[in-house]
Amino acid sequence: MVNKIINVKIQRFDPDKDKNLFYLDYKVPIEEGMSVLDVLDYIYENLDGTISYFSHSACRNGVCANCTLRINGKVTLACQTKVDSDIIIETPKNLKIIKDLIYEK
Amino acid sequence: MVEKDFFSEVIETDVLVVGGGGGGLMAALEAKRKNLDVMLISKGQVYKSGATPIAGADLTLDGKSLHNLGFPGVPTDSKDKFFNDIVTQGFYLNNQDLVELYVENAPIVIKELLDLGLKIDYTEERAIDTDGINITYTLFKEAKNIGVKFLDNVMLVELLTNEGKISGGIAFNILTGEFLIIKAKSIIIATGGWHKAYKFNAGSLDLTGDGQAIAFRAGAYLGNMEFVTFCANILYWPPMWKGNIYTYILHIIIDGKLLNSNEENIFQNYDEEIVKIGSTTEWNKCFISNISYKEIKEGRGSLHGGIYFPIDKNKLDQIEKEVGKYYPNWKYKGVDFSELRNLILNGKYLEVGPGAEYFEGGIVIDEKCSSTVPGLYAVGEATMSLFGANRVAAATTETLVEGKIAGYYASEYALKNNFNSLNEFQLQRFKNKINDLLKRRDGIRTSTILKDIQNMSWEKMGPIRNSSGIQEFINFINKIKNYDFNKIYIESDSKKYNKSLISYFEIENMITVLELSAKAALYRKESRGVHYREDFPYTDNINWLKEIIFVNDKDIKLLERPVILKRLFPPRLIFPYFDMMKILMKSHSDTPGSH
Repeated sequence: MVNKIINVKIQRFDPDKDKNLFYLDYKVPIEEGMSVLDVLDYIYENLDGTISYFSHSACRNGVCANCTLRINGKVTLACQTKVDSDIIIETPKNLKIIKDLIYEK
Repeated sequence: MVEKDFFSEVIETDVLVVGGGGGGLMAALEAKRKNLDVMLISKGQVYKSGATPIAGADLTLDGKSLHNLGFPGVPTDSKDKFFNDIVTQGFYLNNQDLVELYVENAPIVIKELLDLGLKIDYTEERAIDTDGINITYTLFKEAKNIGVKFLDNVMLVELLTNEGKISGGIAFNILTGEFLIIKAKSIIIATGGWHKAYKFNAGSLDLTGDGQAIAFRAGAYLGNMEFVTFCANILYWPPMWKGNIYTYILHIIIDGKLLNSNEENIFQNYDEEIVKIGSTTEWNKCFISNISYKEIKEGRGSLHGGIYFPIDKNKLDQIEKEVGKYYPNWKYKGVDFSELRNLILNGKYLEVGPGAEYFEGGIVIDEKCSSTVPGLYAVGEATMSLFGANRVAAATTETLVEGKIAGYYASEYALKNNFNSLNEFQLQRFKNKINDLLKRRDGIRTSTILKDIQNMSWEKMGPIRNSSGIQEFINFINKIKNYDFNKIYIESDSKKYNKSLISYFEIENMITVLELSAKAALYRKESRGVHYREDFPYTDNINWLKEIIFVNDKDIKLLERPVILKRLFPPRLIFPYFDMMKILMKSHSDTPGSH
């Protein structure tokens, strides 16, 4: 049921190791109706087990807003943002980054 | 003392509450009233984590008490009738002492929330409806005001005991990766169910049986672990909304058909009366989940593993009028379901099915919400529920009632007891376990194990079980427990938000609760409530009016305890499962409504 393969560009940063933040690209096969959170899960489960994004406690139902991220420049809920083409995933601007897509709230 | 470099700090609090949902917040609020130090740690963000925030949240109480609170309610209803309905619909496996506490205290805690300014949407015969997050936010604001301390994104990973009594816990700061010791005189567990262990579930992502498993390791008894309520008709597709209960509500309101892959109505072979009650009241979780799972398991499922929910586009007006009450303009909080409207308009079938929603089993508690470990209390879904074999009234109210009771008695305990000294051996053992884990450079990934667990739980421990399937599941869990788990390696070398390390603790807890759940399901050779054995398709009130309890005493020991029957007694007979279901449906009092 894979529709196509998209490019996902993700902000990475570990303050203990990295001087500056950088971006990594992942090729992700998507099917209709996948969210940004589904795409991040795919990457973590299949491509890169070192990535961090807020997913240990989130409702996936648009209520808690714990998954808020900057997606293609727009700050929104990762669980309710549908993916159908290439995307860039970053933390909201001007917030201290803890690691990768985890930031101080 | 174990070296400072392993544990980042040692904190002291009189009462420690674990869990940032409704039960934990209510417990913290009540405990703080005695002017003790009360700290609440939450695996996620407090008030935005756990089961409560996404609950559709109907607070249930008897209709007369609701009427007395100034709402319509049902003046002819009574606490006795409500009690009757909880016990009969729970297939008489309820602890009737705890049911009495629920019925008596529900109006009190609901009034307390209303006095704190809880925003409500509307009321039903026996319920006040609000959003779960309104409940947690209302309690959080008040708890913060009166001085409860909070730690967000901090997960309890081990309870510490000395000579059998609580002395504190080891906690894991998920964001920083640090371990800390929290010394406490008493501890209240309010950590919810183990939804995440199921491929299809209606819970938030943090629910992994943490409290039950950790308490079990510390010596607490767990019981009724075989009972899992599956919400019916949750969305299976698109993936973005997998697990959402929108279609559950939609189905109740339009009372629609459900089809298998041969386009046959799945209700057609069942008793008309059961179908009617089983589709329009909370019995639907028990009944529809069972019959949909049968279709799926027998190969007549939908494309994405569920069943089909066809909706006539001529019903869109009715849907917008009636479902619009809950989802104005097809929206709820951050979700916009208007795409579902397009699917209906284009004649597409929605795909729905059962999903794990509520866990009746858990930590055995008494009327003080005390576990069998001195100083350890538990509330809500983490406990062995008062709802017996089938929950029909609100779990949000259960956790609030018990939160208040546990907060009261845990603070009493803290007033009467000093800090218990820490057991160095336990700290050293934990440190060794983590150091060994962090040394491994390759092995098995946590995400692989988690996927396997979720698939197997769904396949073998779903709404319909049988002996060979459960045995297969037990073998599978044993293999993980004795082999795979010890091969887990942590993929990132960063301490900060390390997903595989978080998952390691969750898997450890999930395999504990799943093992007990499966052992109890195998042991109970009958069908009762949400536990259905196709090899024993009858409810046996002669041999099985008892609870299955586990204790961790070097090995896992299984005990039987007769159920506490005090006011209501079931017929001492053996009935075919669906006949028993019909009898119990008919035992409902004359109070109308879905509860």
